[in-house]
Amino acid sequence: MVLFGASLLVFVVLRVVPGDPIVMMYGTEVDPRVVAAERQRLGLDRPILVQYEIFLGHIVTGDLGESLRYRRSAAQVVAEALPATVQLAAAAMGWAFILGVPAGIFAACTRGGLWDRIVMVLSLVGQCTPTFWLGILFMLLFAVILHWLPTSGSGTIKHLVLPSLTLGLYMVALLARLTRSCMLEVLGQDYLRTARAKGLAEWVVVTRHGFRNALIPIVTVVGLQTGALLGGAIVTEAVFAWPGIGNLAVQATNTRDYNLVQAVTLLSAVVFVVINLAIDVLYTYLDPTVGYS
Amino acid sequence: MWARWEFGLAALLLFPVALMGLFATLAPYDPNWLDAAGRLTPPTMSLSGIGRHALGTDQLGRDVLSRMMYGTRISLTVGAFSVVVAGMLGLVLGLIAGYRGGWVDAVIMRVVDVVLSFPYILLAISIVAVLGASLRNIIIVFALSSWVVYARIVRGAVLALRNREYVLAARAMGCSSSRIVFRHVVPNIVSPLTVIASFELARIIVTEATLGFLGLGVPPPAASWGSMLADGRNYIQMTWWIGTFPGLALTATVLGINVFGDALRDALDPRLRHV
Amino acid sequence: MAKSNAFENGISRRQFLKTSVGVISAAGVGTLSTAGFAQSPPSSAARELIVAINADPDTLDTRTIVKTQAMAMHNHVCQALLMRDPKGQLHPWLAESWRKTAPTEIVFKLRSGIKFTNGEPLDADAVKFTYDNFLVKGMFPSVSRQKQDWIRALDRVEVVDKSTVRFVLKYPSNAFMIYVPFYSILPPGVTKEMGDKFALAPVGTGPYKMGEYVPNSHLTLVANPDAWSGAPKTPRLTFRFIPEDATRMAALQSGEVCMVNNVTPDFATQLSKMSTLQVKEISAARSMYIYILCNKPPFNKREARLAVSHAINRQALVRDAMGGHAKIGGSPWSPAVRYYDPSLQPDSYDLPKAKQLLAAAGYDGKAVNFGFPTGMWLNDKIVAEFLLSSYKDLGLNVNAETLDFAAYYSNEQKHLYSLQMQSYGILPLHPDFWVGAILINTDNSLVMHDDQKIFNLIAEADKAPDERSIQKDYFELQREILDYAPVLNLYYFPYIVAQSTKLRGYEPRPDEHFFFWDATLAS
Repeated sequence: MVLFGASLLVFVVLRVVPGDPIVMMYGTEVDPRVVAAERQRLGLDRPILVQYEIFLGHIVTGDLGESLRYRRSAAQVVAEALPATVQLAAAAMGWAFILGVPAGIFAACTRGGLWDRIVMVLSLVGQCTPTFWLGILFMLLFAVILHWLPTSGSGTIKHLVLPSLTLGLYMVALLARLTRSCMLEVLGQDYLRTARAKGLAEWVVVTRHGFRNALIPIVTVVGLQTGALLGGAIVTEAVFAWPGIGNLAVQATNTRDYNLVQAVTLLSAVVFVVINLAIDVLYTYLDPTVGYS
Repeated sequence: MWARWEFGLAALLLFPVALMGLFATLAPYDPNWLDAAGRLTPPTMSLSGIGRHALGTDQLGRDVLSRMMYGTRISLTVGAFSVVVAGMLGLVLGLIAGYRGGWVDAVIMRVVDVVLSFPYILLAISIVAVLGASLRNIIIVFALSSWVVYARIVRGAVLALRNREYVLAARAMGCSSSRIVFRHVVPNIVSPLTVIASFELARIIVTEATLGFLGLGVPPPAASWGSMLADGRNYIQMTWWIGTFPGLALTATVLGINVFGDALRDALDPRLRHV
Repeated sequence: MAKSNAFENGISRRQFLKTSVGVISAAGVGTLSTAGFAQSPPSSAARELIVAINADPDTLDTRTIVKTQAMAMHNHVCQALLMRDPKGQLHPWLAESWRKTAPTEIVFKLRSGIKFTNGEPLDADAVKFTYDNFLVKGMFPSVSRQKQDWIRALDRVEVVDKSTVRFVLKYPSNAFMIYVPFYSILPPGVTKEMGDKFALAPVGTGPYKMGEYVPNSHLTLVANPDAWSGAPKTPRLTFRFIPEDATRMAALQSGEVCMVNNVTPDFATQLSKMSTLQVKEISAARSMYIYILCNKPPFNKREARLAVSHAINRQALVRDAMGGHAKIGGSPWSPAVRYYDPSLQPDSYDLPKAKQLLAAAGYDGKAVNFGFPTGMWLNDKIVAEFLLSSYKDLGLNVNAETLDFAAYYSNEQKHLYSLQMQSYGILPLHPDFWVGAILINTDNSLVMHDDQKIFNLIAEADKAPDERSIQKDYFELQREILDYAPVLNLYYFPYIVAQSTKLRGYEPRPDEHFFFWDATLAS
């Protein structure tokens, strides 16, 4: 249902948009006769409804059309670029959990202290800086000036560090603050006092009992943020020349490569739906009091 | 409650920005005037320098300080209007969905899902391409992509309140739906909405910069911080002042708004922590 | 002062002899290499060259290639009958000679003994197969319509014998030859076999063969040791695709790549401050024009068009809007293009004269539409603003409209704009490429002028029997365009690249192609 709506939306919008993909492809130096012939070949001169019919028909068979720019199956182009973005997003999430959550826990435990303040300020700043700016600053600092890491491209773990950190920083900050507030809430609860009274070590109290319950809202937020992750990926991939679908999406929209844009949108819709389902499932596992809705 | 130190910090950050915006017309130069021969002059940054490109000129020869001051107005306008429009849209639709329930609720929630799954970049491109790039259309883009946040919260709150005793009592007494909504439901959701709105405002101002980076922001020659930042990205190394000053303004503003939102939330209702 | 004697300082005669022999042979090797003979690279040279290009080629199949970057990259693997040098002259490549046997017939003699990397022979059948893909309708459905259009003068290709082909034209055309370098010869067997996959991994006769092509990431080529022209100087070549300017420059600064193309003037200033880098700037074959719609008032009057030209201070435009990084001249095409007449001067900046001319044309004060792109060409925004203020000085009432690139072209084709600011790159470095497209009237022509002399000169130059007549015709054409003013030339673009100082054997070309088979990187 969602997929249908998304596909219809993107299809209509793209067709209404002024701008001729053929001319975009060829640039200034093209003869109008060439443009006309190409339009005919690609079926772009048929009425919109007919085009949509054909489009729907093809989707069912898994054919998302031919990318105007690459002249290959759009589905294939997207499929080839997808693993790179997944890798980037996963790494970004990784940073978020590795840096953000412990920072949040730490801040919560040292509440009011200097570290708490520092973590909070840093995460505020992390949430307030545009991704592309951050990315370029990182690139200049770590790659050009310090030569610790490569500036762009993909291939090795080293190449993954800067882009994923840039993409993930927003989530690191968000998660740090969220974890902190959830932990604070939970730390004061009765059942934790009971656990302490039972003589359990502090860290066991904190992690086993406290954290588990703090996870619920964390997981919710993480799920909601996945959509933002794709948006951020577009920018990050552009800055770091990372060959994923974000990069593809920008190029495709700039060149009015309809089929490719549609393919990317459908894909992101699918991903969103899947992640939402996963979150729901995770919910029931984490908090047995929540019924399946 | 209002004496929390966070409010002080927020005020400290936001006050100069607000001043800049209010008194933008007192800027030393016309923000769009091209001093073509004076491209990329460095900031002079002395008191006597105010009259002579205190913060330097950009790649087209325009005064950075003046553009930054006018940029305040643009960025804040985009943010404020987007939040207000999105908020109202989300409020109304959320109320309807939560209160009516049934198929109306289902339809609205499906629409919410579709919008959420649609990458906002594509939405931005489409709208900008169809309607043209302008301040008004950027606001439309933001409003259309962010109303869903409010709708969800409002709907959730309405669902929770629907079965409270006083609401059931009111209904039993024969109050009309709208009365119930306005007298009982709305006051309870103002708090979470305000908090959300403040965070959204901050997010939108930052996102405007990202759209500028992709070439989809407020169109030239408008001097939004976002487009200045985006323009300045190619000049970080040598003529750093083009992007850094608007960047500082942006960060200060967004930081201030976030701190304010945090403090507001803590002050109003600690239970909103998860919001 | 006593003659200082190297021998007295402890250098033995033997050592001196060895060194001199070494120096002389090194010089000899150096000269031989530049003559095009392949030598193994000096052992201190890097084994791999990595360069950063601003665009992904999308396809490496000559039948579907559209972008200049793609053409340049794929030419390392696939070669055409003829090659174009930086001045636009044609040289033998896979064909060792050619001659016109009749006004509509050209015979090419192929080099013998050349094989594609999969073993197929380079022969007349391969040439016929290649061109048939464009000539025969339906043979390859995805074929580029533009490349079909370029050789519209060609009727058919005939096989005379294993190493001779005859091209038969529909009508005599000099311009036809300038397109031959764009059509790389395909091996019939493997091309048919691979189908669509050929675009990702082409097979050719060049000094390199395919390594791997990862779209949006990079293209790696490895040396072809059996290449007829000899193995390349550097055995591995990788093109990385980095569209974002700041990122591309950063890659060069950090030493990850040894060359970047398409450098903006502002970046050029930054990069030239680094001692390990070298910035090279040449005149490109690209110009910025104002196309004038000549069949609508007020610009149906020549005086009105000249008025606009005289109202623009080209020197100031280049100095302020392009930072001095552009050249001006009277010819409508850049000095990098053939048959450029250096004696022509652009219209002088003369505001009073311009106003007079506008009045003489009977301008009624009505607003005219001016269309311009922003962000598409270097500094186009600021150039447009400069033009707008020039129009204002002239007293011309203008409705300025800016649309993004894609949208711009749709409206253009509907004749919405009386004045359009547009750039055009003359890729084959030959004027017919531009005049044959812009100054010929078709339904969608942007200019719609009615100067018979221009039409005649274009047709004549295409049919002219020898170089002298061709040049005479094009020189006259330039003068006529300047005089009749259906199009105004503003300036000629620069083409700027930046490279590591250790990179040798690469020079930028006005057709924006880049070739690295003779390039080495000292380590």
